[in-house]
Amino acid sequence: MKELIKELSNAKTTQDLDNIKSKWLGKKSELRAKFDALKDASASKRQKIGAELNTERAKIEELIENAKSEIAMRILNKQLANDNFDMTLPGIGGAVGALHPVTIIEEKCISALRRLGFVPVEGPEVETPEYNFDLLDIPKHHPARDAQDTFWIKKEELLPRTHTTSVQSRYMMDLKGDESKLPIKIVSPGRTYRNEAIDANHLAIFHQFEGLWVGHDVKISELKGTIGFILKEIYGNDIKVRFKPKFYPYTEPSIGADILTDRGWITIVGAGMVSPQVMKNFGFDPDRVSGFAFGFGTSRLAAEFAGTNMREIYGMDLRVFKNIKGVK
Amino acid sequence: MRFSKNILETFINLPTDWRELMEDVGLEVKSVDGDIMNLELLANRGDHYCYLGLATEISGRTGSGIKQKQEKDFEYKDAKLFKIDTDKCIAYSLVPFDIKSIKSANVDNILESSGVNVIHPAIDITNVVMLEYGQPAHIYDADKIVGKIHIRETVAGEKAALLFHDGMTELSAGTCVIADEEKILCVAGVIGCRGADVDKDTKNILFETALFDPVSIRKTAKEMGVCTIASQRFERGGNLDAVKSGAKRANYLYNEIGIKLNGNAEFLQRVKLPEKEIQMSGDFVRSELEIDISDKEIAERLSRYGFVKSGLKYIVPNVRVWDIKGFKADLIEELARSIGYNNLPNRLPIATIGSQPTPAEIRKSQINSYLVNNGFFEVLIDNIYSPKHAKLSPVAEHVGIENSVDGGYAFMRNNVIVQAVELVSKNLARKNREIRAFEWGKIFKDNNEIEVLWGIMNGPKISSLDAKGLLENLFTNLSLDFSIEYDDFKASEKVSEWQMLNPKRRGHITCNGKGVCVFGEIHPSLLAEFDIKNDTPVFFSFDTKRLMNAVQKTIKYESPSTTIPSVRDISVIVPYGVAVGSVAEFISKKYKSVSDIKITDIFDKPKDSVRNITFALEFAGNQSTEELNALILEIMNSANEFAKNK
Repeated sequence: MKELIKELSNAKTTQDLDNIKSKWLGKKSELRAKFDALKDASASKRQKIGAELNTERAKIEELIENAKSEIAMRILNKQLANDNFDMTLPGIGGAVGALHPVTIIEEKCISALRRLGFVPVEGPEVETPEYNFDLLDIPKHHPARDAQDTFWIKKEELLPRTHTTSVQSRYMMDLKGDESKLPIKIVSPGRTYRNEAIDANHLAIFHQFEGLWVGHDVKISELKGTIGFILKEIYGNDIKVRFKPKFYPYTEPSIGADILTDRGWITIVGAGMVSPQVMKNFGFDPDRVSGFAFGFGTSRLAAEFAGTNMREIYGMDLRVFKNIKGVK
Repeated sequence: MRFSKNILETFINLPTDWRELMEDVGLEVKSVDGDIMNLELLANRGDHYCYLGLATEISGRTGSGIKQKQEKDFEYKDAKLFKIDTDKCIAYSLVPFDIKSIKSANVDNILESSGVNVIHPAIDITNVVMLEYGQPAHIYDADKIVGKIHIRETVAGEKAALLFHDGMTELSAGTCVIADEEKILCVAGVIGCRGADVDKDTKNILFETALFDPVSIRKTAKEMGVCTIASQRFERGGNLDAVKSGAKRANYLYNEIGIKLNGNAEFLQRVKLPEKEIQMSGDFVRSELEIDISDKEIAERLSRYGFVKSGLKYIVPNVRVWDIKGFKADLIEELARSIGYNNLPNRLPIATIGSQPTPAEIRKSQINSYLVNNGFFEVLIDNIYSPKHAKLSPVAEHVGIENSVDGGYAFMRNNVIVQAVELVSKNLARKNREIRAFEWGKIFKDNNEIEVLWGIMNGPKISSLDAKGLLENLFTNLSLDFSIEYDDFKASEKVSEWQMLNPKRRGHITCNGKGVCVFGEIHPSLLAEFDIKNDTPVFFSFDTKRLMNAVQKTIKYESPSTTIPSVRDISVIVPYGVAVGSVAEFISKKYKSVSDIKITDIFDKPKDSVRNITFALEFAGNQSTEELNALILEIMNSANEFAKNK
């Protein structure tokens, strides 16, 4: 056995092992000869010698197998060591794109508001003054009508909507004053249009996100709570929020919500209780039905989220979007 | 609007945290430069456009008393100097003064703080009254006025010599003006005129204060393109009380600089303002604001803004009849400002059942994920575009914009392919050749808004087959039955983009029997418009409504064969003009034992006008090797024969 062990330790290749195996276990091996000689042994000795030879053969096989494993491992290790593959090369696979930051913000908001039961609704982008202005208590020659510089497709007849509040007008008018359909909780994200000179932070076409909750006994405290909830969903629980008076023709009281940023307080949300006149216009009795509305400029939020300006995120340069890829 | 903090403090005491307080009551401080505050005021609150209005608002919160300015009283008489001929003038006051002994007025600070020029002591006082009381005032040289003053509407063709304007300006018929027997003295509430203006030689003046119909002023100012502090104030609704009190404040200030009354002060109210009263109980306030507040405190807080309690009702002050509509909500808003929105309760509505996305929303989300995971970036592009875009559109008819400020916004878009190519062009100009973009948007055609989902792909090796593969996988992912065809649409299915695609490299997809998508390489003629020479961008566009409404197919699971499939390659010579797909279809239909066909190689032989196509055929059956070899030979021969004779 010592000789076998020595031979095995000197073996370098699997061929060497095959030769060793042939020598020690092959037809011309000493062990084979001993097995052959068994037939001449007496019956009483044959069993004992046979068992000893089987043990010896098993031992030889084990030593050879072990050596085989060692050599295979040595060869594999050598191969691995010689592998020149460069893992720092770029990964292979299709590049991943990204949703638009406005969509990301909208999805965040919708996701949060779904938990309160809000559902998204859509409406036409080309509107009549009735839904865009009149029902919302913005009559002709009212300063607020000018504050929303309007693109007119046909003067005082057809316009690209100046806000997504027009979607709320349509939704409410469809209810035909039927209180049994209350409460309603809707959000209306979408494109809006303003006829104004554009610069980095003022666009003619941008996105808004508005919400409306109408029911019985809806309170200002719930408006504040809902806005705080949305802002925390967007900016995290540590965000500081403050409320202040604002003016919107279709809400009363009207309030704004500011958040505290590195640049100080900035107004993010415009909101208010649906004005009694608007509620009347929608066909509901304001003494029985109340509600609140809120809205914010998704484009502005998206630009801040993306770390750029509004004009860039509405441009065609895809490098802008590559830079925000993967941001959640 | 700019105000001086020091001057404001002559009206009311300010706390140390005055800036926070002002913002908290709706007087937004945009910036502070020394003593000067630049305020952004609420659009509906004309009463805020003066020191007294700011002080009243602050008092509403703090309860501090307002330090009233001194006035010098006089008795008003009936109007003889003037006559009101139009309801656009609600009230009018005229007070004569003798200014022969005039001294200089010490009012530079208040005027300059608000950016108002110092002109002439008598004129400067009118501006002081406006800044202090919010009452615009005007003076005329009494000796230049001919006959009686009329507050009337113009007739067609009338002209006025506007201050700061050369020559004569024609006014629209129906414009409210102040005129004497010969000339227009002033466009009411908007701008004064030459002819009776005060100069260094003026000895007698008529001091005018008035209240005009806000809509009338607004229309005139807008039509004339003139915006003055007076017009800003009047178009938000003025203060009837200040017509008189403003004149009395002027009388005091004039008296201080040697100007004396010189006759009867005259006043006339032609239009009665609506008397607004709002009935509101304390219980209503406590219920709406969810705070514990006594009836007494409610009345006291509202009185700070000028609301007088009369029984169960609150009488709206004259200065607020324009923005207070007469609802209880108006008073709730006043109280909320008085208390502070940040001091009111804040709670989430009572928990309700959340809402679930609709099937359409889920499908949109799936499509978004699919496209993003295939390297697409979502873009949002203007859907009003320029005449240049419109000219390139495959459809000439457009919905136009009548009054665009920016020439780039002339037409509602009626296609998306032009902007898609523009996107490619802009990115190529930035050395970005790998382009994958998509958009959910709308086009506007025939008085309809049509929702579309479109995408564009570009890259060194991109062809229409990339779009085909992308779309096939998308439809498979969405479990939709679909078929792709390459011939022309039926007229009813035609979409405008179809004709802007390369006629040899385009296809359209049908789903549930309706066309939902077109795709293909952009037509070279459109590429040429954007100077794109070495790229062949691929475009696709969906009819979103049909895509969203397409019904999912029922998926039936089939176990894979337990037999290890055999795969054999065959080579087929396909002449140019014969669709390779038709050869594959031929094999698939004729030989049912072929379980799958893949094209593994295409070798073009332009000289012979043929392609040598290698098909890898998979057989899932239990054929013997001999049977398989014989079958392969047969398929190869029959496929070549089919291709040759097609």
